Amino acid sequence: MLALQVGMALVEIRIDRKEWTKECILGDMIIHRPFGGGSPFPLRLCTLELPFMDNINNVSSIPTGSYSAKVRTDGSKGWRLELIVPGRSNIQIHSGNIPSDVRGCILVGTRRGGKNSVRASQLAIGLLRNEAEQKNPNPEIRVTVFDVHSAEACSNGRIR
Amino acid sequence: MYLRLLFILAILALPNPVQADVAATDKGYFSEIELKAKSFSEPRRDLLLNFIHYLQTGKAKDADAYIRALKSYAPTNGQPKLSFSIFEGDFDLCHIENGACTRGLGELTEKYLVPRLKDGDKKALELLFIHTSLVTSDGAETENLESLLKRMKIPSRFKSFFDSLRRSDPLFARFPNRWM
Repeated sequence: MLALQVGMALVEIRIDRKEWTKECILGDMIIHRPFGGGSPFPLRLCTLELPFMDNINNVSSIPTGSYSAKVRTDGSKGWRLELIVPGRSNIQIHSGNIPSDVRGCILVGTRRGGKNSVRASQLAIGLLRNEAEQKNPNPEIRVTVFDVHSAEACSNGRIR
Repeated sequence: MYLRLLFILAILALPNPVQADVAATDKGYFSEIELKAKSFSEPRRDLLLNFIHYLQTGKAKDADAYIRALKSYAPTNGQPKLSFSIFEGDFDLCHIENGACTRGLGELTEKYLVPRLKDGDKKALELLFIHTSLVTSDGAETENLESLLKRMKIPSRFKSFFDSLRRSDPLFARFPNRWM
């Protein structure tokens, strides 16, 4: 997970999909701190995506895999990440709480809400931004999505 | 007669009020998009140039030019829909600073098209309906479009107008029913 490139930080974001419901997939987002960041622990956040339905536009989450991502700050929606996903467009990691907030994107929160929601999404985006831009305002970002059939998502329920 | 001619000339010399509304800070970004568009292949180039021209002028004839372009590239049965993001904008159209997208086509759409929709401008509404009927969207683009339709109650406020369009042109039948 830890990776460095000459002259540019490589930020690696890992998403472990852990819980599948009818309405969504809940998971953990783990961002390892390439420079230590004053803490030995990775930053952990919660994610919410639509169920996977053959990668169909608007109705499906993206397939598992590794994607490069770019920062967007344009418009009124604030800081967010856009993923380069073959066959899909405008797939982003952004703020939001429930499945109806997304059409293929990935929502992030600091903890889970009920069965199908995440909470404190704006805070989570702020934390993700701090982490991504910690040492370099122009980091190279890679997001890798895994299916992990093992434990409850966001089980720690807190930020380290 | 001479006075009337002078009056007409004076009116013509005035700046177009819609064009004058394009902020100086946006003109540079419009030019940047135009420059990028020239390296794109069709139909994206044609659609993009027509669309941003209409955003800047607000004239019905320019909306018609975009609508004509959309229809000329409209897929026939069995072909995938056109892909052209206007409510978020593709990343390659962004103005980039320090590697991040700091300006996108979506904010120009929000600034110049959305107020026309809000005012019930029939040509802007026709453009929105035909765009949404013929172009596929995904991710943040769809989220922005849905937010706009909901925020302005467009499907219910302009239902009779949409129904009249649908009766006059079968292409409008491709407008996704879930938004009506």
